[in-house]
Amino acid sequence: MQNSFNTKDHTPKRNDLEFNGSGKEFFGIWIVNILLTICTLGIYSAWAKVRTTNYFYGNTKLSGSSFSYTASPIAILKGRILASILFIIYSFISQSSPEMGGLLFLIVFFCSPYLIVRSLDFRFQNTEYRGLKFGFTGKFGEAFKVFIGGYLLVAISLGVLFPWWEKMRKKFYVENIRFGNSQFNCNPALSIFYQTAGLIFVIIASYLVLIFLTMGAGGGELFIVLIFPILGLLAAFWFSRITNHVFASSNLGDIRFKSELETSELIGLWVVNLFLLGITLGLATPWVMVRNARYRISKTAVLADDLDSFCSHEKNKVSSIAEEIGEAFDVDISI
Amino acid sequence: MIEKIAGRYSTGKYSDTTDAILRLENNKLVVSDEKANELYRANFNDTKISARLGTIPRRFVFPDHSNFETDENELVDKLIRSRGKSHGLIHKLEGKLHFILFALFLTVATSWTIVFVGLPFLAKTVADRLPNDLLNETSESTLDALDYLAFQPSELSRQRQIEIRSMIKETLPQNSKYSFQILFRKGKSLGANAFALPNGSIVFTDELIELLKKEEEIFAVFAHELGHVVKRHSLRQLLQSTSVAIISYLILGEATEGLLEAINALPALLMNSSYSREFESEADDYAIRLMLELNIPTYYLGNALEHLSHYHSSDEGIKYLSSHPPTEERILKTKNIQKK
Repeated sequence: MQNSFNTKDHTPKRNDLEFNGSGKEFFGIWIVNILLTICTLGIYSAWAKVRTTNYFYGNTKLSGSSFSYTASPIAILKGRILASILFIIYSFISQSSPEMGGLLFLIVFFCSPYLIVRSLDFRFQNTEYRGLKFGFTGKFGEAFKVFIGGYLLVAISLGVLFPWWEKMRKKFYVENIRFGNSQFNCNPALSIFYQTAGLIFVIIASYLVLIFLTMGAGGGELFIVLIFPILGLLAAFWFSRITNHVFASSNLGDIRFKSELETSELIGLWVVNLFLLGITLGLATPWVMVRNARYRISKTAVLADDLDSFCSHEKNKVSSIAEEIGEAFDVDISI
Repeated sequence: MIEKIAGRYSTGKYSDTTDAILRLENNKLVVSDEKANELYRANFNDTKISARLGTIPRRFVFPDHSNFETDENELVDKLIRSRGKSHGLIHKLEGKLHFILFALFLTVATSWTIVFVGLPFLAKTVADRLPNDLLNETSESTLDALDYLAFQPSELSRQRQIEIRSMIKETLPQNSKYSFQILFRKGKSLGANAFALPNGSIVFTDELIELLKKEEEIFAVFAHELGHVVKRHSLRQLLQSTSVAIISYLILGEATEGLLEAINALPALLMNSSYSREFESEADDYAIRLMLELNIPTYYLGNALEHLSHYHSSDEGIKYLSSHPPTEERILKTKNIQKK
């Protein structure tokens, strides 16, 4: 009885996510995946995807239990075959007739909300924690408004509405996630998006002015070369700040989330990754994947006293076709 | 033998977990809590046991979707073995260092073979069977784009244009079935150059015609470009680079995030220039064969290449398309044949 009195100002227990994968172990999995993918002319890639995803899910632990990925490789294979065929047709048509290519691009563009929703559906439907499924409840109409409508508004406003669009998309992704039969909520503050974007805009603009002014003098070239690290730094700044804010403004019932990415750590991570990939000609890929996952997961926490009382929700299976098509045409579905 | 496996049981209906023990009793898997109260019982054969993968927890999914999760991978393997089931071949491969090294070697070797031998062969086979006019529309739009971006109308005299066209026509065998048309443009920034489009349009720049002093040299360049058309290099390039893009997406696609995604485009980019070097020397070979057939000394091709390389080395930095094989090598080839 005292409990119910105190809940208002009670801080919930902090459950840190942990990641236990190792680059060395994953290297074996990765290289076998590639070898079998090549030997089977790509067919094994579907099994490879399930094993890879499961490796990362299974090594992610929250409060003693790990996540698991339950997708059927056959479903993924079907999707990949269809996606490859469509991609070949697409590149042929757009090569032999630019007008038709343009039309196809428009079709893919207008279908992208459908692909995004279906692929998120497939991914979450096949994600489990403690035997309970996640799900994605986004509707096509809503996705169409957010992605296509939002995109057009950004274009018309010459980019001024871009931060608003980012916010709407993040909100759409998170709010439609379901765990068991409980729905996530997400109410990010528009001001954070505008502050962050504004700061980045000011830095880029003043840097361009700097380049312009030193054009005649000797230092101009140096400043032009330096633009790449600066863009990397700004990308890390945007990514860490927005991710942290989206987590902080999301909740699942009483459960809240925390992400504590740091721009400087992210930069360090990316620089070392780039270096590793460069000197090993890509063979360090498994280490890079593990490093990325370890950093992001270890910086994430779930604030909850009780993770035990979610209920399951029954729903039909979803095919992976849309997810694969989405990936083939590089539809962005990262949160 | 009763092996007990410690883990966590969840009902699949709620997100709570119970610390539990799993054991095999005859053909049944029995889950009980720490006080030995039975929680669930199912046939071994009706239970799905996840495959071993690294050291991630194993999951037993029972017919009613309740499940049991455990970190005791070794014990689970033992349990499956005791039932006479084979398990985890892939996992064994993934964990063995010598197999990994062997896989690494095999992967590099097969990728090399596929990319440098398999794909070019497949692309050639497919390209030879596809209809002739598949890429014709590209040719027109490419020419339009070049006309707009780079070229200006030719300033060669009409007389000279007719001369060159009839020279080429007369040099070729009377009944030859080649379909081509020769176009002239002022190359401007592209300088002395020649281009072949898939539909058989071969473009000479004014600068090239001025550079090449002998008609035979012009014919040699024409023969090289005709090689590109006849051997369907544009179509093959398209097929090969599309395949490389798909393959590298399948392999690398999941590794990269953020800015690193740019790396996905790298293999296709690198392969493209390698493939075009391949096509250049194939076009050279074609030109050499054609010239031998027509009794034109092949050193004219070498001379033309030499003029071009001098011309382009003088305008700072921009080499005659860096995708071409080293010019000395190509010139040497034309001269060696002459000696035989």
